[in-house]
Amino acid sequence: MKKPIKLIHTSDLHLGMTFKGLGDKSKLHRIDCQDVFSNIIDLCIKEKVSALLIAGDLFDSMDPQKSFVKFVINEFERLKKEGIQVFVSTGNHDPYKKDSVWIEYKFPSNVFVFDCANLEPKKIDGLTVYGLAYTSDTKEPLKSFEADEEDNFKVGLIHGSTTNINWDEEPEAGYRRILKEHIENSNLDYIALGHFHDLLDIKTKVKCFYSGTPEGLTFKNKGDKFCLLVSYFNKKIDIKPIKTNLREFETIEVDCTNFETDNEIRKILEKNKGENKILRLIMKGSPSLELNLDIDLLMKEFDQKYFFLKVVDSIHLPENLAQDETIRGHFIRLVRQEIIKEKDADRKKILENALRTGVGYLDKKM
Amino acid sequence: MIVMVELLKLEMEGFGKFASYTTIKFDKQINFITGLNETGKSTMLEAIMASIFKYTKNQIQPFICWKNDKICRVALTYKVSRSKSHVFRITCDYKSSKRKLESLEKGKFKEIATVDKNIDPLLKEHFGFDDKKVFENTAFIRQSQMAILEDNSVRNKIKDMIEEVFAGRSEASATKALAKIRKAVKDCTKEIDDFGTERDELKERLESAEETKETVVKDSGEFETTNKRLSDKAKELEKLKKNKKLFDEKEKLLSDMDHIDKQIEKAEELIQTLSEEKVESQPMASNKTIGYGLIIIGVLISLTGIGALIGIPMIIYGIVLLRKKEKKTKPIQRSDEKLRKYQKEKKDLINKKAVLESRLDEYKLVKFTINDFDELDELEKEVDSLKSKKVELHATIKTTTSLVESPEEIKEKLDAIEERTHDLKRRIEEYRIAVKYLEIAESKVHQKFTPSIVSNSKPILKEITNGRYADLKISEDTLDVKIKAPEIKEFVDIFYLSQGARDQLYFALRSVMSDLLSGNRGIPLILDDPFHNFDDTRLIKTIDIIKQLAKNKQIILISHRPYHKEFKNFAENVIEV
Repeated sequence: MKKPIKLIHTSDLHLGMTFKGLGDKSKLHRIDCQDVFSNIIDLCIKEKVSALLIAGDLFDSMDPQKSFVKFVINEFERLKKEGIQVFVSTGNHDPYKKDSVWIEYKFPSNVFVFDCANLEPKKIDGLTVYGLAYTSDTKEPLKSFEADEEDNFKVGLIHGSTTNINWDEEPEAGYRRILKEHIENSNLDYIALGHFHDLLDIKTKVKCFYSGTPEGLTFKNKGDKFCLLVSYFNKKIDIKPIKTNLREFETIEVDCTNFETDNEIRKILEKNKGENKILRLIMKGSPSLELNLDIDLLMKEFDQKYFFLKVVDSIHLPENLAQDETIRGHFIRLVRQEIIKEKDADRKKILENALRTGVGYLDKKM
Repeated sequence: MIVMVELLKLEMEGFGKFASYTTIKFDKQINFITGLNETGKSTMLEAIMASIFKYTKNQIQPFICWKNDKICRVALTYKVSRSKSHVFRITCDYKSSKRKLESLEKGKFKEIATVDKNIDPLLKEHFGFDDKKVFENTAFIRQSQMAILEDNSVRNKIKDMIEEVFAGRSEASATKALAKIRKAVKDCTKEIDDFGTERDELKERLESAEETKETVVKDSGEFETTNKRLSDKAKELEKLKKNKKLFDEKEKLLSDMDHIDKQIEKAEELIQTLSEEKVESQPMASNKTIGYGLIIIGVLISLTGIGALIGIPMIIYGIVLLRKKEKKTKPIQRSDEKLRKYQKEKKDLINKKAVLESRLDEYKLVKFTINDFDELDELEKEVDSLKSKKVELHATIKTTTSLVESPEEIKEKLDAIEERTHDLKRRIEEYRIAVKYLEIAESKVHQKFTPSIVSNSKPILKEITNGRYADLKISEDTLDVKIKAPEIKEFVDIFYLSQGARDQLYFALRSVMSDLLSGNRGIPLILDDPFHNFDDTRLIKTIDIIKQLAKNKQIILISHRPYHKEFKNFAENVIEV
């Protein structure tokens, strides 16, 4: 009886990425991503896995800063000491090509970076990993591929998109299509995918998963993030997601139409607080002019209760605005006329804010 | 006055203190609502407001009746008179959130609007306001405002009042708002400037970081080239050294061979010599035989006696010969040994030569000349210098990279500043738009109403001051009020007026302004306990003022002051709650 084979499957760490939306927390979050990678290495060692599979986009660019590469090499060295193999199929962010990190640096001997344009097998004890280098966006990596019949645990390691994702929404998502029929004809036991940032079970006859990024990178990557512990024993595959994220991205949209004071917003911010939370609170609706909104103040007030907080003003004016004979009424009427005349949505919003600001100051709320 | 608005009847049920259905009828002129504290006088005013303006959930919350929480309903019947009079009733049911506006036609109320969208514009048309607070601010005179009139430290109280009514909110002022927004613009501009300084600094840092990066890249490039050259040269050197070694080995072998050849030659020479010596000593062997022969013959002859003469010399000669032979035997034996030795030696040498030859055979492809190794020293020197250059470059790169932050990080900071600056600029733009239109609105209202306030209030002022004050001026720009003092026939600052004159002026202006700002409507003036702190003299005087005002408009006055003798014949309608 053979012993079980264990693997860790991860992808899309995007090491070295800058987080423009996170302002002064960008650097810290970059370090978070490194910490998460170290934790995955620890997990590999703790679980005594045979191999770590990286399904692309380990680095955010093909020529990352030296410090990130050095860091990764050191982490790989730790696995080398434990006799753990690393397989890397490169991604669209860190493709295998001339001048890329994969060629410019020498990785430890336990790291195998697939360098050919088509799936090629690489065998270690009881395991065959089929991987390929990321060379073009249009290639269909699994097209007319069929793994050889053998007793080894046959694993595919690919950076690409399964088509059951609506990739019209995201242009990048369409890179390297992987069709369901390709998956089912592959004769593989498990396919470790990378490219999409959420944990995703591509339900086909072959077990096929996106591990997703182990740490959220944008507000699209909401909630907890994972890497996958894949165990193979007696032809049976067990897949266990292990939570890896240090921070948690969250977006809350709130309809402020009936809010009379900003305490309602405070309540929401208080309720959702968390020192590891990266929250984007989008205020929507058409609250009355009585609602006094000072976003800067709110953000300052709750800054310490979040890892990062962004309050986004997407509110509009209510339909009924007082238009009496006072200065207030005249002011509202004047700006209102400008708003109606204005075609550009962004300019309209500026005028709406000007109206709120003017009334706010007039009503002594500011 | 184009439109007169008169409240006729207020109905309340489950509203505040009025748990059960309550009706209050209003008189055309003065309605005096009295009662002790907490009896619901203010609730009545709220009920009027809650009829005209739809309260939000939060606003209505305090008026939900705990004794009767099934119902919360208010209704206000009022008359709007233009050329013709129309009676309307607005009903607002806060439990079911239903409102309806009815019109009295032929003795019967008929629904004319049932949804906010239709009700609110009609109410705006009737009362001139669609904002509760603006209405309150225009139609209500409160105790607190009276108190300010008493405060001598507030110099421009009348001006402040006008500003407040113009602005539409209690204690508000367009001028103050504008000043605040302008200050906010200044603050934002300063922040942007500060960011500008920071940005410039970051840009400089970025430049130097990029330069450094370039240097590092250049150094790294040089490092790579040096490294490459070093490894090439080191390989070359190694090869050359290896070849030199082979060459040296071959040379050594060749010289060994040479040496052996010489030795062999020498050995051959020696062997030759020795062989020749041996040939020479051959006859010596016959000497021996002759010696022995001579000795034997000599003895034999000597035995004959006489033959001794011949025999003895023969013996002697034979011995000499033998001795001579003996003498010669030793060297002959030694040269034989030598010969063998040399022959062996030669053999060894030949063997050695064969070994050397076979070894040399291995070197038959080594075809260097000594000239091929001319560069060896130079190459060795070059490799050494490349090695030290590599170490040096490595150190330089390490220092520069450790000293300077990465351009990416600076860029990130710059981006953050750009974003914040962008936000601030946007905010400034919003402020500027607000300022622009607020200024327009302010001057519009000032220009539109100030002359009318002056002209409309003159007759009222004359009436309530019994002709003492009949002229006033209000600056359209600053809203400063000046009144013509009859004694000196000059316009004086109202600061110099007596308390009574100030009250008179105040009421006259408020009455006129509420009509003007409601869009030329004679809306009721609601006095919320203004005489609270008044002494009897001021009270009597104020009652006089109100009586005068009531000639032109409906007055709703609440007071918790109990009946006073001066109230006799004051109000047509006294409502006690």
